[in-house]
Amino acid sequence: MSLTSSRFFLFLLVTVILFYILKPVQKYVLLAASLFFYLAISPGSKASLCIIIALIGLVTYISTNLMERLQGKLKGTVAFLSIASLIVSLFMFKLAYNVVNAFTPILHLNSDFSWLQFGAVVGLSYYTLTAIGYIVDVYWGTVKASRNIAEVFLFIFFFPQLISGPITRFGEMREQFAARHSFDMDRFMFGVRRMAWGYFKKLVISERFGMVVDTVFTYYTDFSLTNVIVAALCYSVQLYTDFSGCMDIIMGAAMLLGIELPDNFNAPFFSESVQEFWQRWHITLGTWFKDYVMYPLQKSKLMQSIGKRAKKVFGKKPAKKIPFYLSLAVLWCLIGLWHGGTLYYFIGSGVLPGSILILSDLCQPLLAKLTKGLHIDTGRASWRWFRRVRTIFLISMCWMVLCSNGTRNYIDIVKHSLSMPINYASFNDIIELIKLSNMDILLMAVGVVVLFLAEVCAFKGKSIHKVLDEQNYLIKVGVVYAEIITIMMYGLVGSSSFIYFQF
Amino acid sequence: MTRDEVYERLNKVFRDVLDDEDIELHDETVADDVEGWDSFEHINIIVGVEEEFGFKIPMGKVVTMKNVGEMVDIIMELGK
Repeated sequence: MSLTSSRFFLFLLVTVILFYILKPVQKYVLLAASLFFYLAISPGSKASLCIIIALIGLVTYISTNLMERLQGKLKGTVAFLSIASLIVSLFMFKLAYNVVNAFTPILHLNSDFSWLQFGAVVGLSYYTLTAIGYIVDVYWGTVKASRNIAEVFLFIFFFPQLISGPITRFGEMREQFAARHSFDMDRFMFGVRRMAWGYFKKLVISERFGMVVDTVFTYYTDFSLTNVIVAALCYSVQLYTDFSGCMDIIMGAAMLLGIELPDNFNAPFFSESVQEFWQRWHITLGTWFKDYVMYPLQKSKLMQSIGKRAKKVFGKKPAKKIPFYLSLAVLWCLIGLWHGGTLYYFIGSGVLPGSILILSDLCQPLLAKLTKGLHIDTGRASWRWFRRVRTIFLISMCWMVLCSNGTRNYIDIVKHSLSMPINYASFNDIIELIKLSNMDILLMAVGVVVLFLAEVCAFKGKSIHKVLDEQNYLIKVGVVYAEIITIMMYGLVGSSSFIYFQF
Repeated sequence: MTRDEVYERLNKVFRDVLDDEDIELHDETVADDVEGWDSFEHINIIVGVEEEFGFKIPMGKVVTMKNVGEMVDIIMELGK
């Protein structure tokens, strides 16, 4: 069952009907639906999946309730052991095989490590972070542990967020799960509209940009450097419409059940710096790592003592930066590792973005002097747009490693495209090679314009869904019908899965 | 310790960490209102506050405080 299948719609319809009919036991309806959904979408052994679900849920439930009764070092030991066991399970089931594979050529290992392949455990990276966040919150005392085991399991395995996030916090979900929700037609229609927008982004826009990316990066010997750069920019559009489209479907589905999930995106391509970009992209993952990794690390005794020693050598200002850069390096390595443990994802999602972030911070004073020296009016719109384009370019270059599908491929592609004449393949050649019809090109152009307008609304602080919600009934219904008809006529259903499902 | 005294010492910490003598904090002040108060400087400010007031602020409070007013509440509570 995928989010684009008719089985998913049937499942969602049955869940919504049961949810509002069985009002006194809504929480349990959601839990049963979530477990059914998880087993239905997961390939491989259902028995081993049940064991993983039970272990993660029980470790979280027991440890959080135990911590409520303990103090001091004992409480810390329980938190440490439970978090360590969740990290070990994440490493074993999701990362170990890829990490070992990445080191095999470096260490010249000849052994067969296929025994480390336990089969795909969908969504493990997401719900492990959700569970760890809850354990840490209870340890810090920011939330009270729930004594209701169903509530804890539902929080970790709530089906809309299970496979691709958003990563939620117990404090923001608890009341929503505990409340009894009555059917609200406006909220329901809001959810439907949000889902339709998500499917439009994924099936009409993302899949077509994916065709460009796949062709250029598969048959790269036929393309020049400029073509590869354009394809890398297309990948940014593909990835964004794929991931944010998935989030719209997920948040819309949750909205049908009266549950509001936190937003994962806030007009990321309007960012004027890479730092701002990461505050607007995959927000719940970023804030999770900031709160539970970056801040504790930066505030740790080790980092503080490094900062104090550096102060004596370099002076106050530069010394402040050293613990920050060290924490940032650890943080981005972990983010890179979290993306599956493959070397190219580790580099493209961790090492490169982290390095660019540190370098841009280091170069900030120099850039400030340069703009002053060149008498650039930094208040002008043209300067802001230059900064936005620069940010998109830098991010796209990081992600080029991801769409190259391997570090070796990436090096080959760069090497080859640098050796080709700039105008090696014309626009018409590319269109012919990719097999795009005029309708495909028109849909891509219209899709990008509609997406841009939606992003402008989001950037101004009002989502396109809220803007539409304020329109009259005819416009609201008209837009939904237009989206659904476009999706049914031109949506590329069944072409591929959502990119972020693999984590 | 009165609220005004806390504000006086807190202004000093912020001015020192962010190198800006014009900073004037209020209950409603948030990170976006103060130039340079980003996620990097947040921990430097917290460490500065801990050194100024002589106690540790628990991580749970560090990640949940929403504005300066809440920071002052935490300082007054821990300083009792």
